[in-house]
Amino acid sequence: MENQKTEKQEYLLEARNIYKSFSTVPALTNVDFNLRRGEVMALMGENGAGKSTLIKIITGLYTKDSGQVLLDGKEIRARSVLESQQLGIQSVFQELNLSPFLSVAENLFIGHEIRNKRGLIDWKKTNEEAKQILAEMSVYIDVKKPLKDLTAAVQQMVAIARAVVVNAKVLILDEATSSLDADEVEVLFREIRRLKTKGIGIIYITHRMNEVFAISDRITVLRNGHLIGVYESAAINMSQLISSMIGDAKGREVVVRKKENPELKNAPVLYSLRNINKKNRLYNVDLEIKSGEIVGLAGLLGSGRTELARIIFGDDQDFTGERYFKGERVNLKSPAASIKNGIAYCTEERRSEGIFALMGVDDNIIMPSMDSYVRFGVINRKKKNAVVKEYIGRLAVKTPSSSMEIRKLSGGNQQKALVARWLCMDTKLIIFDEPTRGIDVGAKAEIEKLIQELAEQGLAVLYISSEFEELVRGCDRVIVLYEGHVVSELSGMDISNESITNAIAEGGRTVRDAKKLQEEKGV
Amino acid sequence: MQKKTLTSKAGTAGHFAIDNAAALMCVVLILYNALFTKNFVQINSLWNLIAQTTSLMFVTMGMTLVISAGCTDLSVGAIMAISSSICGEYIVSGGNQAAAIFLALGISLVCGLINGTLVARYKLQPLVAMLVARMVYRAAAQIYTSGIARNVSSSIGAFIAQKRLFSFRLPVIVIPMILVIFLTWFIAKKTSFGKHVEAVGNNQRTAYLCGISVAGTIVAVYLFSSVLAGFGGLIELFRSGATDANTIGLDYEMSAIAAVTIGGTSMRGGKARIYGSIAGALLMTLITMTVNFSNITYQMANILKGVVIVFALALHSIERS
Amino acid sequence: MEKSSERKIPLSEFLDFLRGKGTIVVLILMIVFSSILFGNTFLSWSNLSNVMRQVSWFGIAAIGVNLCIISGGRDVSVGYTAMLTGMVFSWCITKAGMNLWLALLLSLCVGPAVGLINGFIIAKLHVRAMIATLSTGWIFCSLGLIINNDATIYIAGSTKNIELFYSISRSNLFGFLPTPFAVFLVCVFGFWIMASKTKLGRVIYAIGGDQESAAMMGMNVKKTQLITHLICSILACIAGLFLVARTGVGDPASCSQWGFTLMAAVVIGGTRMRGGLGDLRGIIVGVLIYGLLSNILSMAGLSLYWQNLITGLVLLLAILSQRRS
Repeated sequence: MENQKTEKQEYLLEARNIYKSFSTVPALTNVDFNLRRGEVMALMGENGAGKSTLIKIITGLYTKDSGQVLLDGKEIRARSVLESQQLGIQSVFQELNLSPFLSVAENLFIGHEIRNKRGLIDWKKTNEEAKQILAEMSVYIDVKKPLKDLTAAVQQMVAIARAVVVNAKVLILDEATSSLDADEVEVLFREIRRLKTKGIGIIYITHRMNEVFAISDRITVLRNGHLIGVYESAAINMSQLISSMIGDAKGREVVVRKKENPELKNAPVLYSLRNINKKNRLYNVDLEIKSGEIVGLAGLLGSGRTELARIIFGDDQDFTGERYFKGERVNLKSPAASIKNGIAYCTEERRSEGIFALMGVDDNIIMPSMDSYVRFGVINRKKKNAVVKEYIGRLAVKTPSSSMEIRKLSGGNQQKALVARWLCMDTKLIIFDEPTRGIDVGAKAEIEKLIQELAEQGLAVLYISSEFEELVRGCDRVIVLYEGHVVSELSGMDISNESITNAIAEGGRTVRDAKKLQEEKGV
Repeated sequence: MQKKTLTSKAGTAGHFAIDNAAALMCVVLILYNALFTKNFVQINSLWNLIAQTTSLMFVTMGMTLVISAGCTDLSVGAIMAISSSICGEYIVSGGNQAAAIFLALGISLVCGLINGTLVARYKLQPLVAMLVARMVYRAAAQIYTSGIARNVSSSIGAFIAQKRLFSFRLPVIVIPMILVIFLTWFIAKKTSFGKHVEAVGNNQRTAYLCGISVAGTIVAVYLFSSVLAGFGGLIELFRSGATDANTIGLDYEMSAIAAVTIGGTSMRGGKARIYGSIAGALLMTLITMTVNFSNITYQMANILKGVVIVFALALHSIERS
Repeated sequence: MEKSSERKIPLSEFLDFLRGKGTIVVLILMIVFSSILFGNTFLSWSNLSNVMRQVSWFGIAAIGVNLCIISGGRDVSVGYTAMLTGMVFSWCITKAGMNLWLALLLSLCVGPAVGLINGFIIAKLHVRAMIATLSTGWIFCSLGLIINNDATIYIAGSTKNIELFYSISRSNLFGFLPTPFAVFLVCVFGFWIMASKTKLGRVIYAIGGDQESAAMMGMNVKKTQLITHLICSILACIAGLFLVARTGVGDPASCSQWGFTLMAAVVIGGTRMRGGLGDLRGIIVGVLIYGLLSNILSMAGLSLYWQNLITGLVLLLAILSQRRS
């Protein structure tokens, strides 16, 4: 009987012909997606490919414009996360969605409480069952502890355990491993395999390529809101997958190495770091940047790139080591001090750390350099407007007027305005943290070109990007980080996509070996 | 692009109404009074309206800056009580009038410094911290005066509060009011400090990364607000000719919040709308006047003002989403 | 995991201690201190039971405020809700000449009405709880003042029914325990069970800890906020009735500081100001500390003004002691 049923409905979850647009810009165009029982389906694509839109439609956070979502062959129309959860679709995200102050056991069972005869929650039984469930996953912890006291990995396991407790049919893991280290990921994979045997279908989203091949049965690739293909994981290799995600050269610049700049050899060092250590984040990092040089920081998420940038900018004081600027040791106590010295930081978090959403483009541009237009506290409007106009023109910021609220501009134009913010002052070193993230292709190319021009004008640039191609195209030197260690430094013709990837892989191995050695010594 | 302008045209009227809610309500109330209140359409009614608004206008201007920095100052009413009590008691005990005024303003500044420190340095939630401050300051004023009202006669006070100038009987009190409006507008829109205030109200983290001293800015807006509240207290003292720590400034913080929010400045901060706040303050006085003229109990005015706040806050939250 | 080597100044260690079990120690110290200072004036059962009686309606309202704060919200309109209830009740009895039961029924409607208004504004209109209840509190306060043109209503006459009503606040159980205090303890116990052993209670904790993740876990945040405010206002309403039963007057000036002093009691009771943490039983200690404080201050001959000032400073200390966590 049961066999028949499964045969009748080949797919556990199916999305047919999904179309979704945001104010006439299509985010998903007629996308099909399916998931079998007991299978791990990886969902791959670059930023803006439509992965998260698809997931949000399945979980009921967004409503689709057209198309169907079927669960067990029946059409479902979830209008909220709550409804999709009641249907058996559970998700675990990178940023945790459990309650921090409640105990582990409670986090597992809230909404599905175990009650005693009087209808009250039976704490003893709850704790026992929680312990048992976690033990099945080989997690042995005190379930009465508040969740916030546990490590990220254990919290992630609890989130997955919760999904199991509430009888998930479909489990969505959205970048669930990005805060975990290799061993922890292995534990997670063991659990995923166990869930597979229970017939749960798993949608797996990650930016880590290795994981995709290690765990998934099939791979669905999206690009620019279109379905590119569904592949058996065993029948495709990594480079095929990458080219499927990125697409052919059409509409993209071919990777061209930047010409080497011989003048750099004799240029003086502008900024350097010596022996920077930050607890659990950075280990003995040295770094030098010369004027006119573009130094790339490559590494996976969590490699310590942003942490390093924040130390350089004086935003983070919780570290040991020395910082030198123009050959002198400096103690940059706050961003304000760095800005005074001509150090600028173009943040990765545009919305939460970059823009002043309700203020005009002009105010956003002049905010850090306001002092130079001010006399006795009063802003010289003429001078300010002239500078704003000049830089809006130079960076081709598309805005109806210079006083337009910045939140009304597109991501790319916001980013350009933020770059303008740091250029319209006497900047000597500028740090770009993922400058091309979340902006459209045309704007990306413009930003990249701009960075080149800045270096030609003599600025020192520190360029952080997870798109290695950008670093290959743009950098004079690339420093490769792995979990807080500098594992390689590439320069000139040595910089290539492969060399960076290899350095990370190699670095991963060395760092892990070193750790093991240390542990053995410790024992 | 064209499509966008077409679709947004319907929304423009709505936006205009929301942006100018305070002014529109003022117009409605003035029309109502013109029709139903005897002798309302006179130059003197206008002067009365403005003169009665003066102290609230001072407080509202300070509150506009505080709220645009993403904070709130609930202690302004209590600071009014403190400044009026100190000035009044000092004059009654035979002190120099000018010295009394300076002393009162100085103490107001101290209150502002405490407020700013609690919010900026100790990172307390502004509303909670100010709730504490409001109670403590009012209690301090009551302890200082033993809760007793006292008549105060002062020549400076009489000049400011009662004197009328020129043939059109311009009250002197209008002049400081116009000055403070201009000053606030100038600070908010023309100075780097004003921009810093809005920046902090937008996003403290971003402001910090842009090299702005967040704590300094917050302390400064609280100082500004408290010194204006101090002035407001003095004006109330001079207008009524008596100190009364129990009633002077009572509920002014609520009226000011109502004026600022209905004037279009969001409680979440980020943008100071001075014109809106002016209209808002006038609206508050108009509500009180209308209630008085209509022979309804004055408490009705407070109820209406409370409804105005809730209405304004709901508008802001709908606009955001 | 090694302990992080945070450097701590003595003051913060002291505050840490206060945050833990410190409140009970403070309570005991206060009792010892005032016993020495005032001797039998303080220690007499009539004084102590008076303190208990006075904190009981205050405490009943504090339970609701505590739930609100645990859920990540605020309610500073409770005092005016209690006052309004008292005004409505005494108006019904005295001015409208209703009988006790009708008057009780009408005044008990105040709580749910207020709760629905607050809950609607906060949950549906997405206005932040503090500013919303500050505004509605202002409105309720004015309403209460309007009822009798700012004047106090003295409940006239003493029928059998009225005496019965008075007895809920004025009588003693077993000859010594003030009835309202017993009611307060029963309420604390009941709501503690609710908070720790029912789904609603746990959801209140969960949305206080992190509203977004609670929503992602499939909890109905809006509904819970609405229910919490409803409970809070109903409890405030009941507290108002207890107060009237004690004083026999509807006083529009009563309870005006409650919004603030209740918060003080709740925070002293150990509830995290930003929500998500707190034990309802702590409210007993919080309320008793507050009650003893007023008692000591009035025995020391200090005016109400001083009491306000000192309560303010105590709350400030309590909030500052939580700041680190």
